[in-house]
Amino acid sequence: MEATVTTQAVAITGLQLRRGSFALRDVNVGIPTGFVTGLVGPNGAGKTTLIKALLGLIAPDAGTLRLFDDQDAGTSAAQDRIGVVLDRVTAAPEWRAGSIGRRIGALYTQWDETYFQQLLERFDVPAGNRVNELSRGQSVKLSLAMALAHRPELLVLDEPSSGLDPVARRDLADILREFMLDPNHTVLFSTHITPDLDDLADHIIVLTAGRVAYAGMLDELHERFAVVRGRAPFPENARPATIGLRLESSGAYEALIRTDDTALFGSDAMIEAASTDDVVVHFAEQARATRGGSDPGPSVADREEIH
Amino acid sequence: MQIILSSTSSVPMYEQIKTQIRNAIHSGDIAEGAFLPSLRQLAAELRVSIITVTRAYNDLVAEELVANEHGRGFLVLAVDAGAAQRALEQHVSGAVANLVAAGRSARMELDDITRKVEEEWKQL
Amino acid sequence: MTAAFTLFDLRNFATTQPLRMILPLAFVVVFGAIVPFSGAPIIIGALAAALTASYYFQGDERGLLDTLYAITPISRRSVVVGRYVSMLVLAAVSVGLGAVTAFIAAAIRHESLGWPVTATMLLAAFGIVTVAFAVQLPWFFALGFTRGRPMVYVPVGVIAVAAFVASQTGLLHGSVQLGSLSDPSALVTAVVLILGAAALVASAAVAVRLYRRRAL
Repeated sequence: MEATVTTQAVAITGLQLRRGSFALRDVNVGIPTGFVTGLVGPNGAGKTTLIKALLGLIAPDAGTLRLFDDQDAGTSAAQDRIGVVLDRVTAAPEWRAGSIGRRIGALYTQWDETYFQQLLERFDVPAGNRVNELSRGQSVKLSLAMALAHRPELLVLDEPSSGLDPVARRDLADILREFMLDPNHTVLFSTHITPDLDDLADHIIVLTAGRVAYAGMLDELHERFAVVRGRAPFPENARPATIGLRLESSGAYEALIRTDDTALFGSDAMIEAASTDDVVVHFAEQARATRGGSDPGPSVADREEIH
Repeated sequence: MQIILSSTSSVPMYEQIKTQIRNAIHSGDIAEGAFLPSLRQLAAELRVSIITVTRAYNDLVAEELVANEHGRGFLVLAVDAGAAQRALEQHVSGAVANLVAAGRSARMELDDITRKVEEEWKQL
Repeated sequence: MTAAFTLFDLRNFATTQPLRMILPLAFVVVFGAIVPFSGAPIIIGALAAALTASYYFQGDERGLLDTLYAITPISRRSVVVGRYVSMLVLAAVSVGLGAVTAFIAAAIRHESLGWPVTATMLLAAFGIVTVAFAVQLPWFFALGFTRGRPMVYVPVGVIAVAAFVASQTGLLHGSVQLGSLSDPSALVTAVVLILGAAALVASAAVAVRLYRRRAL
């Protein structure tokens, strides 16, 4: 392993936040420096809210958000070190892409105008076009150029690949990989297109109904969870071990379980490794089912700290 | 050393990487004393996550094929020639087993299989 | 940082909403020249600034610029103060243009525009701008343009009422009455300037607090 100090680019403790229908509850999670962390969950789970909180766009009701071990979210020093790509370009529709550096560069301490222009060229973003004349793919790349041009350590992207064709998605992944060549760089990106995580994300945070359902290495997620499918009768004693159990009227069932618990099911049940989607869907199902009660969230949450 | 990964194989990526590096070391494609590509560089080239390459490299360290020289990279260690040869031959045995199984599925005779092997050998 | 933002803000307004910058100024010149009341252009300049206070905020909303500001290292306080400054700069241009128009119009009409009238008008302009900004800006910073839109009509309402009162009391008829105005006393001047400045400072402090609490 290269000699990187294991720090956390973002450390979130005890985060509580409620804004209208969006809420985050008891979020304790870290984003480790030097790795790519994917943030997944169904729409409305709170991914964007969490990202906005760590960017200082929304103030939490309770809890702390520390960045780079020494800054609070939203401070000038923190913002200077974070590059941001949101779902819409943060630029006036009339601005010409090539002029953006001259407009906002002075607001950063390390804006590299030459680098910005190089990025625009490399990403095939026509510098003479106005922001409202760009295609979706070009907009995302423009946002990326704006984010990278001030030499950030942490790159935060909120659903960057939605609306992109496969070629653009691959380009985006390659750009992120290049960014990660520096061991001091960190990427956090939220997505509901889970295949984009494969082969790119090192760590994963699964968010459902405002709570962290799982946080850890992506590989471990596939090893830790399995999907069980079987016919009637459903072994009732195994119910507590299930996550997001679906029981049909015919008696057929499907659930997410920990691989440790596979012995609870008979040999005629089919057990397969869980994909990321399986995990997200079943935890979301679980959260939905418990919402009627006291809403404690996923009862078998694996909310270990990412180390 | 050229690593080619299959995304559809049931063998995990880190295993594939490990196997191919191991073979390259045993066959001398990577010389003793050389450094493996940097972790992050390889991850970017192969389009896999950093942790995937990390696992492969760490496993190779555990197998004592490479050593982690902190700050400089992963150094290829001296290979026991006998062990290397055995490993390579084991690789061949595995390939042979696959070949025979495939031949049987296709209901081929031993002579057909042997002929195919000869044709392939002559091509190279 | 504040200065950097003011420069950014002015440049941004000029390049993305050029008509909105030019038309009010043109209005000042045209209407200022028409109204027979000498010194009026100065007031019109102030009114133009007061009535167009929402333009900057509309531009912010269209381009998601509030989010952009929040993402950059610039503090919310610097954004607020920088915006106050850029708007005051533009108001000064508007009033200054009114003053120039007033002098030229007076010269063309062979009237004299004495200092007492000019000083009074400038003081009134200062009062109008500071009150208009002090009241409107915290509102827009707290709510943004769309939700803060009703505030746009308040100055219009105030002006309509003032115009009505003025017409009833005959203030608008001719410069004769005002020609007899004497120099505004030092006391009046000082009070107006200090109160106006204090109102702006207090307003900015409130705006900073409200803007800081806004979810972007």
